[in-house]
Amino acid sequence: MENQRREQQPDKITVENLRVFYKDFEALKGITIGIKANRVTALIGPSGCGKSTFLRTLNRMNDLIEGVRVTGSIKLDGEDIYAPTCDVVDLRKRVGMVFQRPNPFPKSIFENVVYGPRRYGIKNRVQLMEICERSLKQAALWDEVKDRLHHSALGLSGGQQQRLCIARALAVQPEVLLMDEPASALDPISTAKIEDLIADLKKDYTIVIVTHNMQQAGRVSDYTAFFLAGELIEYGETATIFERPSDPRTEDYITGRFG
Amino acid sequence: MDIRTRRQLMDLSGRVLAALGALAIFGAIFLLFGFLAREVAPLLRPASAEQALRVEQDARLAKILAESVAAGVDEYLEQAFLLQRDGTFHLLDLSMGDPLTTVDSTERPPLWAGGAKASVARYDPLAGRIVVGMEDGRALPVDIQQRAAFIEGRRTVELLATVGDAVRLEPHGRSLVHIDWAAGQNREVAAGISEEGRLVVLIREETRSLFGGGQRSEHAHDLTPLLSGRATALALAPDGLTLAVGDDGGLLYQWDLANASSPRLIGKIVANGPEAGRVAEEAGRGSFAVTALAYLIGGRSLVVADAGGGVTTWFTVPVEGHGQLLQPVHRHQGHVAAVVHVAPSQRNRNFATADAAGVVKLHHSTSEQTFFSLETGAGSLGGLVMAPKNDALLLVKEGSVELWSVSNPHPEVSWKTLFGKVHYEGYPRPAYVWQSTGGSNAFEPKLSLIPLAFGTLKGTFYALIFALPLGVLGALYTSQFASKRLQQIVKPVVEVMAGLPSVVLGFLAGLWLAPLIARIFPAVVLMAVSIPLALIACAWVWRRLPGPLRERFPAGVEALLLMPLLGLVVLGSLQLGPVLESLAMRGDFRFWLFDVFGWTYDQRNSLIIGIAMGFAVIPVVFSISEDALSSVPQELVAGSLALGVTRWQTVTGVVVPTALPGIVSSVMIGIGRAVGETMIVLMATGNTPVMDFNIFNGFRALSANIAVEMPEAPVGGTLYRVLFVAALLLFLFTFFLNTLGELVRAQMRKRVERL
Ligand SMILES: Nc1ncnc2c1ncn2[C@@H]1O[C@H](COP(=O)(O)OP(=O)(O)OP(=O)(O)O)[C@@H](O)[C@H]1O
Ligand SMILES: [Mg+2]
Repeated sequence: MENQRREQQPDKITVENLRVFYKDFEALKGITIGIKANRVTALIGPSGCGKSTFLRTLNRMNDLIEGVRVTGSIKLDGEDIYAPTCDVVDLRKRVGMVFQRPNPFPKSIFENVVYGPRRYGIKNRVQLMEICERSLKQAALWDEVKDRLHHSALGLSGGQQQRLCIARALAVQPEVLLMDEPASALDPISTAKIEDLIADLKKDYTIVIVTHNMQQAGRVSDYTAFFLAGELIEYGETATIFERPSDPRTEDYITGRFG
Repeated sequence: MDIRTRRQLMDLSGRVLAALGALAIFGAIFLLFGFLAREVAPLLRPASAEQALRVEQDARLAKILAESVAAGVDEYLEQAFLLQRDGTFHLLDLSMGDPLTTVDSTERPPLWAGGAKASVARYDPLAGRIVVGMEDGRALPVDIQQRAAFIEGRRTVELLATVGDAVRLEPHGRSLVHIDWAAGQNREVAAGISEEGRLVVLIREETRSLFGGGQRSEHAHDLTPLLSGRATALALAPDGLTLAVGDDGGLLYQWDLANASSPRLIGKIVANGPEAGRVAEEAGRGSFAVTALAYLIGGRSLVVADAGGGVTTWFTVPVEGHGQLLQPVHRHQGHVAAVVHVAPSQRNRNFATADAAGVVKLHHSTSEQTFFSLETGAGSLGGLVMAPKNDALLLVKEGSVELWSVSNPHPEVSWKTLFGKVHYEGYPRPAYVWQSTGGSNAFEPKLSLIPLAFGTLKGTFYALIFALPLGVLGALYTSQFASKRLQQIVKPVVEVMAGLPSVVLGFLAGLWLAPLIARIFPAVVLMAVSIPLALIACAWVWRRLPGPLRERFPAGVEALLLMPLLGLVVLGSLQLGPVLESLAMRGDFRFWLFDVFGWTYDQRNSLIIGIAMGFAVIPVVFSISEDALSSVPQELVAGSLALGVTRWQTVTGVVVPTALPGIVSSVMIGIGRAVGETMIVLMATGNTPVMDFNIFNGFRALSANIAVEMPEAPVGGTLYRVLFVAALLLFLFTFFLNTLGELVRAQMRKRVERL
């Protein structure tokens, strides 16, 4: 019954034969994968295997890096995001990103959260305030900062800053949220909060998360993709990957035999 | 020695060295400041006077003094002379150690024969003349010269006196009580007041015809009927064209003597009291009798002193409805008792006044300062003379002669003359003027730093108008939009630009750019309009291009695409310039500018400076801004872009605000550079110290002024020290700007580090 439902879940993003080159170095070697809508997909794999690279191709943040070449196709809701007609700015509105290191702007908490909406042309203060409150609540930060919204965001702790960055990304209401090791710099309590958050967000967003923490991957994700040296070794439901991996390398990695 | 102590030792010595370096820099700045301050300090030192010599208590001297009508002292303060009523001179040797024994009244034949007695005399040291008024109404000019001579191997001062032709000034043979004499071009004028209060003038003129034959004429006038009171003082301008007379009703009369046969009374002006300066017809009389009148060096400023102790300096200024009228311009610290003597300086606008109670004051007319007030003892003075070098005052008292040495090296300078509006003689109203040297020794230095500071600010302003947008926007483009390769070209090029010696820039600006722009001015005007228009048009077209076509060009390349287009616009403007000039500017843009806007066009003007100095400022602004902009963490940029915000919004929303302190500091340091820049402003402006904001006129900057004037300023002189004030001002200004810039930058670094 449950299996049935999962298979019906459509793909939000379909990636076919994706290759990414940094100058001559081939960082991704023909990845084909379908990311399910309203599910959490975890990307795991040893350091340097191309997880971040893959994540960045999904909202074309790789464009910022000089000498990057991408071949293959990535479709978001069936539209090729590397087609010349695709507007990168629009794409990034739909596919938000949270970085490994918290990167709040040197502005107030409020200004950080409404940064995106403000630039899409929303000027009404009441409306911006609503967005701010909603996003901060979604990011489980509201109670901690509601009394100092106009203080600098740099005064927050690392965990708070990371949740602020999540709130900032949520404020623009993307369809997909990419998270690159969002909890790697955080203490267990903050990490737990962020994991709860991800579970909450699942109903409205498609989430792709990179993590090195196997327990975390097991806790939060529905699907897991295992990368190794630029190749996708195995992809499937998290339970399956963790309990009955079909590839010995996956098993080695998960059980901590290497990586 | 084990590793740990060695490491500690290294650490310690490194810290000590760094501290020493910092201290040395502080020390150098402090020393520089101290040196500048030391050169400026004497300007602030107050003037002083002290009694240097006193010759007294000798019955014979007392008699001589009682009989004296005029006194004087030579340049080196070695000899004083006293002219007696009988025409004999008495000389006092002031150079000997013990003044009591040096009363040396060398017997000389009297200046005139026949036993006539002088009733009054007036010594005009500037003209080197004593004019003697006789009891029989005659006036006698005597040329006086005191010069050093060696007699029997001993240095003495010789007094040479040449007696001129006497004139009968008072026709009825009455004794004269006031007198003056002036020798102008082709004329000699005598004026006097007789014991009866009669005001008489005698003008002797020589009109030369083309063929050499001279014609002499003599005109005597009795001006008494025109007086409303009794004349109490008079003075002739040194050119003999103006006669000023004061009366016991506090009125000042201004006569124009240009027409020898009919002197014209130009005005009767209230000399003192609340209505001072108004014409008598409208305001009545003054409060006190005028007691002394004297022209200062240059013959334009007239000191008017009165029985109430008031002292004012007058010169002619335009008065509505009355033409050029003598007006009280400077008011000086007054006396308690009636003023009896006014002694002008022979070098500058200083003058001393003495009152009936024996108080002597030293004033400077233009700066309105009164330097000191000396209590010289009870009793009125018989005479007061300022020594030729302003370094002493000779006081003739009832029983003694005193020499007071005076130290007053920089009378012209005060806060007000350096930084305030000053009413200089010959000017219609108070103004800020810099004019340090002039043709004659009667010239008065005008040392207002305001026009120079204004020039510095003007130059800085126009340089910044040019350099700030280019520097900051260039940095923005290079750091945010240009490709790595372009960055690698642009940055070194700008660095080379920074290394250009400013003398080269100044030279190019003055000798190449200035004439070029003067030649193609209409085209320049066209470019000022067409380039921004072309840019806006391009942006518009670009936005309407289909997205895919735009995507073909990587970010940053679109700006490069503009270059050929701009080239075309410039070429087109150059072609159209002459057409514009002949059609819209009536063939000559200079006339047109003047006709339409009332502007004059200097070839070396602020536009040239804006461009040339902008060239010097751009690298500073560019490098620091670029530094600040590219040190904005890439994560912030990525964070913004990941939110679906455009590149430009990211730049304005995150990059610029984060780098703002750095940009502000680049501007500050750029201003500092422009303020201190010397060679460019020196070579590419006309260096005229005018205060006028017009972009097509030049200016004179503080820095260029120092460069221009320092070689001509005598070391230790007033100009020299004022130039140091200018240097100090520049130093403080640039120090302040740079410090502020650095502080802001340090603040910014802290802010970025916290990220
Ligand atoms: N900007 C770049 N230029 C050149 N090579 C790069 C660049 N970024 C990544 N690479 C290379 O691409 C490969 C994949 O890198 P990526 O950052 O995607 O790994 P990752 O899986 O995210 O590793 P980690 O778990 O350590 O974050 C690595 O070998 C790395 O050296
Ligand atoms: Mg990574």
